[in-house]
Amino acid sequence: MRNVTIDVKHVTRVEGHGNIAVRVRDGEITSLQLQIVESPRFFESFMRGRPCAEAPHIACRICGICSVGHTTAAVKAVEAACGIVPSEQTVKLRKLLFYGEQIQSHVLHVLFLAVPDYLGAGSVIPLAGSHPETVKTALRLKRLANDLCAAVGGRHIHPIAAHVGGFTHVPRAGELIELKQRLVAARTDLAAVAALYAKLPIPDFERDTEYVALKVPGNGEYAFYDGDIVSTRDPRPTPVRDYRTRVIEEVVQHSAAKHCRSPNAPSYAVGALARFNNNHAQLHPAAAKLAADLGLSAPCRNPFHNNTAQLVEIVHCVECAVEMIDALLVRGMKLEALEKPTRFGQGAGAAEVPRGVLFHEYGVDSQGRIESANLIIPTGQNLANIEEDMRAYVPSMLDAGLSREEMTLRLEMLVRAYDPCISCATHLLDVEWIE
Amino acid sequence: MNPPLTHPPPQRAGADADRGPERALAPRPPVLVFGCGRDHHGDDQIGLRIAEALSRRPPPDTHVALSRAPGADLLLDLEGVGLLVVIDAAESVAELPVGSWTRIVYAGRAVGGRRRRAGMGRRAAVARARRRAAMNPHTLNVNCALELGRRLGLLPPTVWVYVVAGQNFELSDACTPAVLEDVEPIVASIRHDIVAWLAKYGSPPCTS
Repeated sequence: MRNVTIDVKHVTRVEGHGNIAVRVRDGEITSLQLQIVESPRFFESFMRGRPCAEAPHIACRICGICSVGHTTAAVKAVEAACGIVPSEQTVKLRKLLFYGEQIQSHVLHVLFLAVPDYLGAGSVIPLAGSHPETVKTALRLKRLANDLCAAVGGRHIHPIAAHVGGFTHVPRAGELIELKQRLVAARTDLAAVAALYAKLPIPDFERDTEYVALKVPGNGEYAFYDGDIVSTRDPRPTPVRDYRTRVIEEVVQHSAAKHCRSPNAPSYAVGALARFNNNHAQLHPAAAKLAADLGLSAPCRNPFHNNTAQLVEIVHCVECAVEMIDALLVRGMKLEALEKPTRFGQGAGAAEVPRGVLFHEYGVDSQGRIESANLIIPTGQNLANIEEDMRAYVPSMLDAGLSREEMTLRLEMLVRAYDPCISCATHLLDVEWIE
Repeated sequence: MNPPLTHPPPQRAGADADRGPERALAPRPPVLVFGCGRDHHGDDQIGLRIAEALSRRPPPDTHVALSRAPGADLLLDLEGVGLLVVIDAAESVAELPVGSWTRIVYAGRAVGGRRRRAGMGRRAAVARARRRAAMNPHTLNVNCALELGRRLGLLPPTVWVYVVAGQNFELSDACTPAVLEDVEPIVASIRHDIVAWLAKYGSPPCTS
């Protein structure tokens, strides 16, 4: 029987502020919370009254890491509300932009935030001393991804060229050719990263979890941009417009971000591992091979392997970006006029952003202004599941006789494995005024 | 009198022979100036304003750039650079009150006594910079990026950080007047220092 108190304020190497608070008395967990202490952001409130075409440019400011994801989800939701069907070129450019962001975010998370734990470094700064080539590789890959985003989106974060109805800028063919050459060359760097990653001691922990992701019907592509909602417990596809039937939000006292549950479980997980578990058959062959080489197979219920799935997705996105550039070069690109609204109403959009499925929904009034907004962020969807994982992980660590310091590190690693973006996750809170 | 600067020979440190798939970069002048900051965050924009003013009449062999989102990947731009100058705002502290500024030679030496308006102890300045060098790399700041570059051997032999003390970093288009008054004196000082450095170590650009 042990008494253990763990208080981590704040968890480092995650975006935003969150605390881990665990109390164990006589070997039993009496309290366990992932406290989200970030201030609420109020985006859903101050977007009201703005022209709906501004939604992507406002929403992308929610996050500097997944700004393309917020832009994309917002664009799709507004287009659904306004009856806009984007052109083939627009969809291709959006997907290419999306690949850039996935690579950028995953490289940042896997190599800058997660790997230091496994290599005994407190952060990427000491890692630069012990593993300089790994950090230089990460810098090169991240730079490449940023340049891809800048070429398509107009700048490397907060894309300025991606609008409701299309793009106001298209990359030059020469830019894409150069990027393709760098993407092809990046395979060498990725092979080195994979070789390093294969040696990392991923903790052996599993918990039966529902994994939720988008899925393109039939034998479609690995879902990032399109798809219906599916899960490992309920593979029946649900259209995005009905997302509220699959995502049930709840306010909890210790979190400035709402928690989410599904109709099937008190918590569920989204993110790279959820995508892998639901869509592994659609991976690019090079990514599927890497998954096999790393021993990642579906269904995988070890949350630490979210990092493995992120690495697999980096390879997938590099290969898909090469193919997408080829497709764009073959068909040719031209600046197209933005598609115009054909109606105003309610619309929902979703995209698989780096940390999982992101939902945006807007109500647009007859003047084309936003009258309601609802954003459900991947990290918010994961919070309850992280707590459930911690609740299952602590007893096994107690049984294994780990020290308090080791348990603390493991819990931090568990939280980091989800790549939480806490700043994104805190949005509107219900405030009750008592006089 | 300004203390004499003791620069190492102008050769690029830590040049890596195998740069992998990194983009081929155009030849750069030996001096690279980064003005860092955010436009709409009050005094945080001062690094940008100083760099803009410097770019209107840049010193010879000097490239001036603005960085509104300084990231570690900027380190990959340093090939061929002999002197890196970073201009950034910092929250004022007792040793560096609002409107004062100082120059830190990155890697341990703080210099610039003549031009400092207020005395920030050299040890305090360096310790402060180092304390801040291990923050959240999700949003790598200037200190983190420099420290990362130092450990990777990507920094040029000489790095100067001009630190300007501000007090208002909230959302605002306006700078504190005392901070804004610094622009011309700092621009003149940077230009003077760069010209002196070039006279001593000079063109052509260093090569790895």
